[in-house]
Amino acid sequence: MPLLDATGVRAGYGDTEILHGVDMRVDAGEIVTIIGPNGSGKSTMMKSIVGIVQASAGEISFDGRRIEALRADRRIPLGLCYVPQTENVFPTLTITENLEMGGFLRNDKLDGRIREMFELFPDLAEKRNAKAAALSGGQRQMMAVARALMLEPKLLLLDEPTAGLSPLLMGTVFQMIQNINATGVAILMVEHNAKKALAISHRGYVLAMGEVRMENTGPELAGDPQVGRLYLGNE
Amino acid sequence: MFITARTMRSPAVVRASRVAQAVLAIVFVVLALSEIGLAVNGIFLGSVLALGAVGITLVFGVMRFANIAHGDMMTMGAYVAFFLLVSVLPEHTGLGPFTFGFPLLIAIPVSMAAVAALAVGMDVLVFRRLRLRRANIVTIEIASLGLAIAIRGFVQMIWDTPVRYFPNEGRQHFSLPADISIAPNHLFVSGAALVLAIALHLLLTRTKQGKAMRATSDNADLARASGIDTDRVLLWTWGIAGALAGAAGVLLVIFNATSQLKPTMGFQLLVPLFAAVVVGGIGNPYGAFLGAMLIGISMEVSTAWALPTYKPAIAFTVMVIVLLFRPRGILGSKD
Repeated sequence: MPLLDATGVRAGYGDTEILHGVDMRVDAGEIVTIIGPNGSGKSTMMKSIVGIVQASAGEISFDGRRIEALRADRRIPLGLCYVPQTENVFPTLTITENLEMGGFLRNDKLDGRIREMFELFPDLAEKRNAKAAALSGGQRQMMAVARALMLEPKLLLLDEPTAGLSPLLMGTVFQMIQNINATGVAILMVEHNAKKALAISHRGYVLAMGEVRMENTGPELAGDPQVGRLYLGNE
Repeated sequence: MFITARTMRSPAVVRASRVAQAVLAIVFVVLALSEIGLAVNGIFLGSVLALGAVGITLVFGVMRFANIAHGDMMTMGAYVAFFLLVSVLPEHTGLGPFTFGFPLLIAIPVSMAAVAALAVGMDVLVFRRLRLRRANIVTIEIASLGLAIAIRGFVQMIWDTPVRYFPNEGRQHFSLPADISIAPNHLFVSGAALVLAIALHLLLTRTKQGKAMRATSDNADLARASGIDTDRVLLWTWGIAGALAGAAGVLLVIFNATSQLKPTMGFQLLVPLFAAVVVGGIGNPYGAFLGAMLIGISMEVSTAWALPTYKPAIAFTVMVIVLLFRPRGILGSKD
């Protein structure tokens, strides 16, 4: 049974439908990447899964439970956490407070988990009492991921985790994603650096005009000439 | 990205702006010191304004609209206290150096609870419905104006005539050097405002619910994606803003030398309240407190040269001057 199973998802903003019936699945322990041109509905798909955008039709199951009718704050406790592309930290809260908000639904003392996050992201530990607004681009991305990991999710959704980062930092972020995955967390990400993302992914989807055009293993998709034409701009 | 005037400024312009800001700050301090008696009064007025302004800014932070009914919520707090003092609580005046009696100490928390309930009720019955229908900001503002008029109408219907007063007895002012005369009530007003401000600060920085309020104010979508029930945060925010408005209303009455109540007293304070919110940086409770002090002192000190009827105009003039140099207010975020 897949961890996440979405079938026929339709969603959009107001009267504009962006997704026209998308099927997608993520198995436990997988890294799955969604690629596609701008406006193809990649982010909308992520938001529909997490509940920030309500799907108008289709079914979404997570861990064997139907979730498409639940509010966002009711889906999170089931074990899926989301890192938006932008505005993914609380800027006026300190690093520690950001992590506390990430663990808002935990009933235990948060100290232990916060310490684990600081071990995983030593840069953040040094700035634990600084406001998140004061972080650099790369640190901010670490902060956002650490916040999402506070609840020890089964599935982590990352919307363009390397957007705006230098090539050096990009490598660090992809390494971090692999490290997180190695702890058993499944990852579904949208990524512009398609080749690098697919290289570390078990599977991938190509989304265009709100529909899934291709689905294959990560390396197969990265090497597929059709993907190059459709999305990567290769002739 | 927008190209703003700020990003196009040359270093020379930035330096000139800093110099101008420093000069204005010095002028403000010199004027305040030259009329120190009035400035001290301004701090007391600022305390009352602060409780109202902080409530407006908290609601703005999570709802992104300016609550026009806030002034009338303050009025409601004052009249609830009046009802308690006259009809429910034992009669007593002249507690220590103050004009009011010990029953006021009971009336304040009850008024706070009553206005908090009113504010939560306003959200459940009106604002939540508008949110669910994705009403635009103009509709929400008009609804809050409607509630302001309704609350004032209710107060007028029940208590309009005769003129009402809190039970009180005359008290000597404290005399200090440099012609400073302080009404004991004013010390009480400031002390109470300070206690409430500290309580709010602790709530926002030490409690899970308070941090969730700040998180929701920062980024409501991300708060929801962190599992925070933002609808509940909204109710908390309304409750706290209402409680502060209730306290502000009661303190406004005893701040007044005659302890007189007027159905329009809160509404008339809206201009300086909004000025304080904007000066401090919209959505920032610490900014609202600072803005209220600046506006309160400016309004009182201005009476040395201008008629008291110009006080609201002074409040807005100060606001415009601050915005010219700091378009997002004194403590407003940069972007």
